[in-house]
Amino acid sequence: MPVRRRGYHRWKGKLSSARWTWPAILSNGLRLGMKQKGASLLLWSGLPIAVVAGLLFYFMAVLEKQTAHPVQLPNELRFILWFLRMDRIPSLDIGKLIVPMWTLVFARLFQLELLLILLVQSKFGANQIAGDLRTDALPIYFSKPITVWTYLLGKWLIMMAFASAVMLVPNLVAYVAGVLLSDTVTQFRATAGLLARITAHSLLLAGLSSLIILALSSLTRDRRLVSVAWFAIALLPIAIQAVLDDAVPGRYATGLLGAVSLQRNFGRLTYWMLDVDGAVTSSGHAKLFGSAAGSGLYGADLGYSVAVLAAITAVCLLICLKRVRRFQVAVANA
Amino acid sequence: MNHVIEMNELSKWYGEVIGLNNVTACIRDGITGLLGHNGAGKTTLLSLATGQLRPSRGEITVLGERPWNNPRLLSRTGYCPEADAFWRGLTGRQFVTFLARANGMTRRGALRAADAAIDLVRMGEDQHRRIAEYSRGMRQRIKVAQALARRPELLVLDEPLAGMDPVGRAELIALFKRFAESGTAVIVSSHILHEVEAMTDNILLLDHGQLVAEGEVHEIRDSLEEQSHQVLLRARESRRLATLLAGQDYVAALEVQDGQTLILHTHDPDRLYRELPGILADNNIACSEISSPDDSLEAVFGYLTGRP
Repeated sequence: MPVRRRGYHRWKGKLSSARWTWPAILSNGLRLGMKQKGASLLLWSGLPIAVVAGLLFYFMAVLEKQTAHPVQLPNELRFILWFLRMDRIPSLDIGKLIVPMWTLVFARLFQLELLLILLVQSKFGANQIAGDLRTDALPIYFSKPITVWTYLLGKWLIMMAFASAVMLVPNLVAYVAGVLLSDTVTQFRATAGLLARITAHSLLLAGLSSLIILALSSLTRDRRLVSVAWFAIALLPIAIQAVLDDAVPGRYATGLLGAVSLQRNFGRLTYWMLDVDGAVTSSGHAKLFGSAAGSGLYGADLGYSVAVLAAITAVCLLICLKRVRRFQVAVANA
Repeated sequence: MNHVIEMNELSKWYGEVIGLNNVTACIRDGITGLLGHNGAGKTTLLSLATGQLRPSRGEITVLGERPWNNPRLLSRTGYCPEADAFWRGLTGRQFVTFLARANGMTRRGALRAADAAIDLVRMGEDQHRRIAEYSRGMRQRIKVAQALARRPELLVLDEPLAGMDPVGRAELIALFKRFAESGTAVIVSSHILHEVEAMTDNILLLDHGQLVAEGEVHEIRDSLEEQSHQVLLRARESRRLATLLAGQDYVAALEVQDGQTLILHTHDPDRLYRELPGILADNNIACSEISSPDDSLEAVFGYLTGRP
């Protein structure tokens, strides 16, 4: 019998509570995001970086074997050693340098991935809440058993997923490639701690950047304005920081005046989370790494950076909550 | 009869703007029309009923519970907003399924519910097309479908027939009537009076945020004692009939139009209807039509709001 003639049957079935409606928002957001032009290309863009990192780890593994069991290196590998200024390294025990070298590679990877995050958040995040405000979609959301918190959680997880695709996934791919191309068990034992750190830090950076773009997206209905604001927040302070670095005495550069740009703060956080200084120091060859260890700007005064990032997090969360709750006035006045 | 929505001195203001002012009313089972001009407070009232706004004063209960900050209640109501709130990248089916899942259904349950709801609004053939390709009427149908998917106990529809062709309107009106007969309470908000008249006699009339009238149309009309009733008569000998009726004390005024139409104004329509057949028979006057133009929603609306 056609549905229309069956009468109105009350739906019977189990319903999840309002706390579990965010998966629906998440899956809908991911579906909509992937329908955008160039979405796949952008999300895959982190993988070439991971491949390069994997190759570097492979070369390091080869060097380690070389120092353990010296054999005549092929000419191609000699050239690469010369290119990386590592031609004197075979005289050292590479095994002790693996952890700091991997740590530094991942620290550099994070810096590159921050650029990708900039693009990903702009493409996928600018319209998350702005689009809902523009199309008056919030009444339809909140006529369902969705709270403001589950709405924001769903939106944040959408951005976390996209950001993780260009940060967490390439890092994991690079790590797994490095382990598989090396002496798997030994390498994993030596770098398991690093794996935990890069995972946590990837999620932290993805989460923070997602919250910032959501807050910006909640301020306006125009996604282009959101993108402009996002790039302004990300890039302008870098220029200001460069000016401050030149203008202020060195002892202030590691303090609050050294925590103006997001890039600097994320950089400090990266070096702390990956414990770059610890890895370099424990290798016994700190001088070999020199300024690459970043003990200058990144190692010091992490507290300022944490305070700045915590303040940004709190402000962004407040903005999101206030703006989403405030839509109700706009709707009723329409 | 159950009271689905109860409002007691319900008020809502936004700064200095009063959205709703001291409304005390009850909405029962069946279809209730919520009427008013733009800015009368209809959307405010519906937003309060669907838990999107908190009352500034007074209280409102829906299905026995307060709607504000009550997600559990929202899973028992279905809301079709006036605004075209669509995520344009989605197909109609994806849209309805997503909102069914947002109601707390599992993925499988949401797919089944969406299929049934889409079939009810006759969008089965177009459900896999993107919403951006839909006409206005199709978008309205798919919006109604998402409100129905959960089979709610209360259906709240804000201008559900806007932009629809006459056939589509008739289909949806029949659908809403069927729901009402099956035990779902339906509230339809509209400023198009004849649409509401086609669905229900039971209305709530708002003007400038205040409740102007509540109840069935003809009951409201009867209560408007200061307004005389209009009765339209069509007869070939309208002028002779006018002469006969002019002397009656229950006729307040007469107007002859285009030779065959006579419009009477009376404060006692019951007496007019009682005595008119005798007058016509005694004087051998044939009357082809007797009707009351102002026993209509439009007339009542005009009288109560002072606007045509």
